Amino acid sequence: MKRWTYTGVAKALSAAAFLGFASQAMTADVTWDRLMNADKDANNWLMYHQSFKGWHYSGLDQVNADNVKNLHVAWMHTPAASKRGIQSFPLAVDGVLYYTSSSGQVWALDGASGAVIWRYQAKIDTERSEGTFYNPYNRGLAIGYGKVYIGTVDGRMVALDAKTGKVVWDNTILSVEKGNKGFTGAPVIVKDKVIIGSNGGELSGCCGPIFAVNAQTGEVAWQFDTIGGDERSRQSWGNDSWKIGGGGGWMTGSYDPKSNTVWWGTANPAPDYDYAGANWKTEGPRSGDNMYSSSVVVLDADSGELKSYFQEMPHDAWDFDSAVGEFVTLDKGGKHYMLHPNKGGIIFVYNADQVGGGNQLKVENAYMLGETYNYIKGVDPKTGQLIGRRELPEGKHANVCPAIDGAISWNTGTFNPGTGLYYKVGQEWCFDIEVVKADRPADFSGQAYFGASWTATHPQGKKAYGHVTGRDPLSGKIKWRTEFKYPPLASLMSTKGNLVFVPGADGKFTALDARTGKELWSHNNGIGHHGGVISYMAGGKQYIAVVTGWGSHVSGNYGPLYGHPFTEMPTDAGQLVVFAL
Amino acid sequence: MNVSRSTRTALVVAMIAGLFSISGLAQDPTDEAAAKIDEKFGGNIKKLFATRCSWCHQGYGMKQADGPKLAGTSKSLAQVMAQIMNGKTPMPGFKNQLKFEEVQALAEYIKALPAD
Ligand code: HEC
Repeated sequence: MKRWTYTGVAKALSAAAFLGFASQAMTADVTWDRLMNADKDANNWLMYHQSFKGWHYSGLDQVNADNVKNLHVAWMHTPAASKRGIQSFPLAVDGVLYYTSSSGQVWALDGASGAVIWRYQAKIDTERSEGTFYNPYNRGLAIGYGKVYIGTVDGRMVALDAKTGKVVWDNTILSVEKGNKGFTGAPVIVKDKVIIGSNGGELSGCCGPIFAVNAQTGEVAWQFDTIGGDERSRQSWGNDSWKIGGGGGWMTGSYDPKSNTVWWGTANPAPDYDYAGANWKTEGPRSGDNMYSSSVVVLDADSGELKSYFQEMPHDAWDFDSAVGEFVTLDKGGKHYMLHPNKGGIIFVYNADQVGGGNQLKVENAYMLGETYNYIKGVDPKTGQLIGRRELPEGKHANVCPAIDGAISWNTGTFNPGTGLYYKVGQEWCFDIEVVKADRPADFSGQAYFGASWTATHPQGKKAYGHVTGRDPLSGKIKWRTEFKYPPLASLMSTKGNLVFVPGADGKFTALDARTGKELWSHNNGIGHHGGVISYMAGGKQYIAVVTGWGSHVSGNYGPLYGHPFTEMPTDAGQLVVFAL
Repeated sequence: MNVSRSTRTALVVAMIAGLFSISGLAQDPTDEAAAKIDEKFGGNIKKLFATRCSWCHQGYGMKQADGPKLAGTSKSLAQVMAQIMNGKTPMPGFKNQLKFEEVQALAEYIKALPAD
């Protein structure tokens, strides 16, 4: 039995009282100042990437490596609908937890009890949203200035009153003129604007815009077209193929206060796969580099002007786009770095001091996180250029690795300043593919535009698998590596309590020792995880919140690859599960 | 003829191998189904399928993935056509993207795929 000392109880009580008081006093607002200092605010999770450092790190240690064995479910919440599971990232502000579920639902819950404070359901133009593949995902929200912001699958942005859930403004941001698409990613607040990127990488449209919207009025302040927006881009698409080139930036990027820039990852070009193979520079459906698809773009936060860029996959022939929204800032030896993972399994380390002039970013290092790959021979650590590309011309190609699903998916890793390690999932699988000469659709038509048919396979001589590594983020040197039978698809979170939380594909939610990778605790949530995980304080208690639910283009392969339990796993269920000691 | 036992075994093995290689050369069932449809509609149905449907229906409709295996569907031709036109989340509806004849050709191709 546990012994409660008087001082222990008194401390706990006074801490609770203080925090209770603090939460009453602070529910006032999430100001720009609070967002800028989110990394120092361990009690709250104020934005998708936790802070502009992009670490997905919780500075709380009430739950730690010594006591995590006592972690248990505190409460759960089941949203009214969760088609394709819950893929969003909850946010926590002064004891209130906010999250979104599919089809534009927003929930505000009491962070300690789970009691519903308010709920909002966006009215979606289903005729429009059901014309795309990205329906009905919603991956999260932004909070600030007394408002909650979401994007919708039919191209709108909605601002709600954070206290009541009432609509403050509701604007159509994305027209269908250049192809039907919408928003699935969470917005991020940057100063007086809210930034969001569009989907559409697999559709024969243009121009995959990233928008900055006035946070107070919902008016578009600036727009950056990821393809076809400037001369350099248009020159890099033969036969004006930018008009059907896809593009977009569907995941949440970040902001670097040091250079006042927005960093965003962009989607793949359409069509996926290119029958011209090695002749892609001059032939095929989209000859040329296809800028700025599968790239990182660095934009002036006030004007949207392109300050720098780096195309991680020049003429992406594999659908290994750069839409991963994770940008990890690191300062070491007087240098300012930005780390960005790419779907092709590469971690790019950029020099974040040398930004400007519209030039290419300087690559300080690039290393392979994926283990099973033959689409390239490797990456040049000095330049970030791909070495030994394997093109996929018209015809059949067996055992291409990784599969279209990538070695890295859109969910995030985490950096822990205590251990100095960066934790990230790698997925190891392959596919057999036949590339076809797809007919060119009408310009700006926004139709499904692929150039191949394929079947998921295991790597040769091995079953498809996943891993989580803890490594030096700049050099890539591995400190520990833990293998997973089923590649996890959700985000990771590390904490000051020396824990790394891994929401697993089979439903198992695991806490690893951040120093060794050893499993310390697990709980079966009963269904796969495919979204976010956060930690926050409410009433003096540390909570860990994770969303559950299964169903996506990537998770669809688990049934054929592994069978049970994925063949029976529902794709229209999911919950928010919240843990505490 | 004096054939040693081992040679005889080798011959039998070779014959069996030959048989297998003949069946290996047999038509891919998706090619077989596509040939009939292409003759009737005068297009390239596998290409159309790859361009529009492959993201979710793998192996030209022979394999389950994000979307179900289409070969052997219990739906009628009319129901398959309705599904292609209207979709069912997360499958998009294609009524504004495909010509009626293309929907018909895709549906007939799916119905022509072998059940197993
Ligand atoms: C974004 C993914 C996606 C795309 C693209 C897609 N489908 Fe589907 N399809 C699905 C899913 C998921 C289902 C199962 C829907 C359900 O019943 O819940 C389905 C079901 C079907 C069915 C019904 C099968 C049955 O037996 O019930 C047919 C037929 C079908 N799709 C044909 C097509 C064709 C033809 C195309 C291309 C024109 C296509 N699909 C494109 C995801 C997709």
